[in-house]
Amino acid sequence: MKDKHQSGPEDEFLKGIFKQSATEPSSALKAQIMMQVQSTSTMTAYKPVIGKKAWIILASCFVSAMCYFLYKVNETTFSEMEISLPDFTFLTEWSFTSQRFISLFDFALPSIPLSMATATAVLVVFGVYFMIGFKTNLFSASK
Amino acid sequence: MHNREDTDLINDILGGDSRAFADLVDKYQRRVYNFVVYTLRNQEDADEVAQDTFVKAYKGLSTFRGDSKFSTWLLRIAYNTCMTRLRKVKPGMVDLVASGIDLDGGNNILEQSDLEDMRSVLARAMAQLNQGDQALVTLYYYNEQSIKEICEITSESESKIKVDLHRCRKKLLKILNQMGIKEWVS
Repeated sequence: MKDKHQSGPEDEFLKGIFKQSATEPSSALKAQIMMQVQSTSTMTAYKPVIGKKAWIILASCFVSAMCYFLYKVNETTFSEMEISLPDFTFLTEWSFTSQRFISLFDFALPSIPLSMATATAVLVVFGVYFMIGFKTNLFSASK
Repeated sequence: MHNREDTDLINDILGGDSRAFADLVDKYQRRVYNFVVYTLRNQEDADEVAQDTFVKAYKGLSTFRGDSKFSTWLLRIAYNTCMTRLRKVKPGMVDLVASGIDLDGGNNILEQSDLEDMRSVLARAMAQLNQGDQALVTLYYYNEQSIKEICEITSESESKIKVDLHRCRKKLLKILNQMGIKEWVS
């Protein structure tokens, strides 16, 4: 570890003075450090909220669902999909307000054609965001 | 790069065994404490800063990647803590240096002194350096850190460290010479 630029008798002399002049820290120092460490001892081994196995299962489910989705719903539209909203009709007899409330749900989905290319693009974007999230420890327990 | 014993202790601590940290404190407290004392030249502050250094090291242990020696990493924390303290508390905190320094006194102090005098002589000589230089010479002469390690600790360039060390050495030797310690002084 010696450095080439200087290591003469002068350096040895100065090192000697520094070494001889060194003092022992008080015994209380260690006790105080340990006391603080114990009081702030929230340090635990890193454990992710979702384990590796769970991630594999989730990923398989996701991929399977996507494959099924792409296979089944090729060249269809959102409006053609069956989206079941909760049935609030039993409330209709109650009051005018409840009818107004129910009317909020009375809408039609826009007719957006969902082609294979669109679905693939959505998948790719989702995948990229997922990767970024994974890389930046978005899913880690330490966050 | 750090030795196996440190790695084991660090792994134990990261595994939740905070008592393993006591062994690390045992091993490094003298080095850290003396570095802080030489840099701050104030006993009370030194105790506090040494304590802070170890607590910070404990809290940030998971960020220690092992690229450098553990002692270098720890001294970097100590250095930064000292510099922060020095920025907060400006000069006037010197209590290790006795007043009435007579730099022109030609008596050889070592002839009439023991260890306490040696400390006093060094403290007086160190008082003539600025605080950054005090940290630098302590890292080099007391902690025996290499130039490369000092660069890591202080985040300064190698050439600057070399130049500063050369200047500090000349100045220290000159002061010691003026105090009557002529050994090795050319």
